[in-house]
Amino acid sequence: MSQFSVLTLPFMQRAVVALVFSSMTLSLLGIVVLVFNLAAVRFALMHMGLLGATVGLATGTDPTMAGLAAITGGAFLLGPVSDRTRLDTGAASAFFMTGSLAIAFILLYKANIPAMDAFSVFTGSVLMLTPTDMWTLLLLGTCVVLAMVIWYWEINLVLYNRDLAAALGVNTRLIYYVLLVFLGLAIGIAMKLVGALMVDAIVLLPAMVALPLSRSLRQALLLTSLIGGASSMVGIAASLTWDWPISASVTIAGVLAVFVGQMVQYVIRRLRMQQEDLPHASKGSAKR
Amino acid sequence: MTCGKAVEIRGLSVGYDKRPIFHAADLSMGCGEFVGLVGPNGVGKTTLFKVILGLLRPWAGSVEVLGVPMKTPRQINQARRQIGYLPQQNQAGKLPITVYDSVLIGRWGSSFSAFRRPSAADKAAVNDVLQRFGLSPYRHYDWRALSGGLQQRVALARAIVRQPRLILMDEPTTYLDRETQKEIYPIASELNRSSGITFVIISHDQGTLERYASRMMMVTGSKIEEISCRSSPC
Repeated sequence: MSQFSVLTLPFMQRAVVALVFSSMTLSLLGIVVLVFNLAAVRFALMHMGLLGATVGLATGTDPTMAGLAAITGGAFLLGPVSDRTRLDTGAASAFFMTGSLAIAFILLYKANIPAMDAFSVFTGSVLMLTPTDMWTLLLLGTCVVLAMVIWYWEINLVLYNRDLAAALGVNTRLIYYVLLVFLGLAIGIAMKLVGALMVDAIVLLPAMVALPLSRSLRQALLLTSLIGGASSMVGIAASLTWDWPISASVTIAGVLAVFVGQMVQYVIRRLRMQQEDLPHASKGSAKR
Repeated sequence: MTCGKAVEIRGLSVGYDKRPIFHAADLSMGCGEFVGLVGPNGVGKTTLFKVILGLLRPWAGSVEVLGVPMKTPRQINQARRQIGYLPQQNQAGKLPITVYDSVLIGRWGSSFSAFRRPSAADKAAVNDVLQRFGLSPYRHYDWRALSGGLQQRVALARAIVRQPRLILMDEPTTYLDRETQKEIYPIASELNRSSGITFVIISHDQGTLERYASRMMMVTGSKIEEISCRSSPC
């Protein structure tokens, strides 16, 4: 019996579908994180997840669901709080991160909850996914793709220059908030898939590879999706072949993709330096 | 379409939160003028653009742009369709975008939007503008890889593709070297003369701007004052 025969088992099929689909769809939000420099937002949302899990444990509700609810609520609040207080989203994230962590610790202490129970929300396992989890993930991934397709030009404008987008009449605030909420939900789902420490493997790494290699948002979206899907499949294959933990394998594949992407960029830059014939511009995306 | 005043502002009071930037300020610009707007940092030059674009609602006073009172969302959108805007280039370009797409997005809101994809007419307009601005060879290039001067030419092409009657340029030469700075004003001046488009340009480089502007205005102490005029009537 080959190692790949486990793919006939339903839980394994769910894991593969969930990982590959989420890597191909939720990763599109990585472009938003990178262009808007929202790295801090991810951490803020994760810590709000911890607060949610703590509240869940203290009140006897499902800590994972409570964590997800807190992440979603946080994603809803981040944009408006950042706008009202005139803090940039990164600074607002620090406020949310430290605040939720402090409240979580007070709750843990007062409710006499073992801290590790709350921190369990940070560890996910793709092999434990229920059919409902998988359908939720498929729904969210589809919504992300639909938003990117329907609002392609609006998102293009907002990511390119928010002032310009607003001046042309784009509802920049709505688009930004929707993207933040999608990001929150994606982080919550990805935490369940691979655990908090490896969320970036799904949400961020594919976009890190694709953005510098692309010449348009369309290319960046396609490339991100392809790289996300490919690194997931390579990760799953490596996990089955060498009996590695599946989340770690997918993450390693993502890290390798970033490394290969950097190499490709370096080679392209070198080639262009040699072949450059236009005095004021270079085709592609060499960094200035 | 007849055009009396490009911008007519009466008794404008506006600011952020409770901090006033303008108080009972007046401003009148005729169609076809080339206006330079100068003043110290933080005095409200960009705020004035936001008011003209309908992004900031006045606390008091009236604003008319190209004969349209900027009161209801419908009126604001009607005016915006005729305005080209070049914001400050203060964002480090992280998004890959081709020169072609970067110009095409200038048509957003005037001819295409979320549920109306760019039409053949939009694409023809973009091709025409790329040709006019000498940008056709760069149409598939990533905007991030262009020199500062070419980036500003793309930004101007994006404004023009909207077929505007008023163009607002916010410090278009700030991040450019001395030589490239000299390219921008002549292009704008030529467009002003040949197409009759009204230009309002914010700049710290008063000396250079004065050479091209028909009128120079200064924003200072919550008012807008005229400091020189070469057009007639002033």
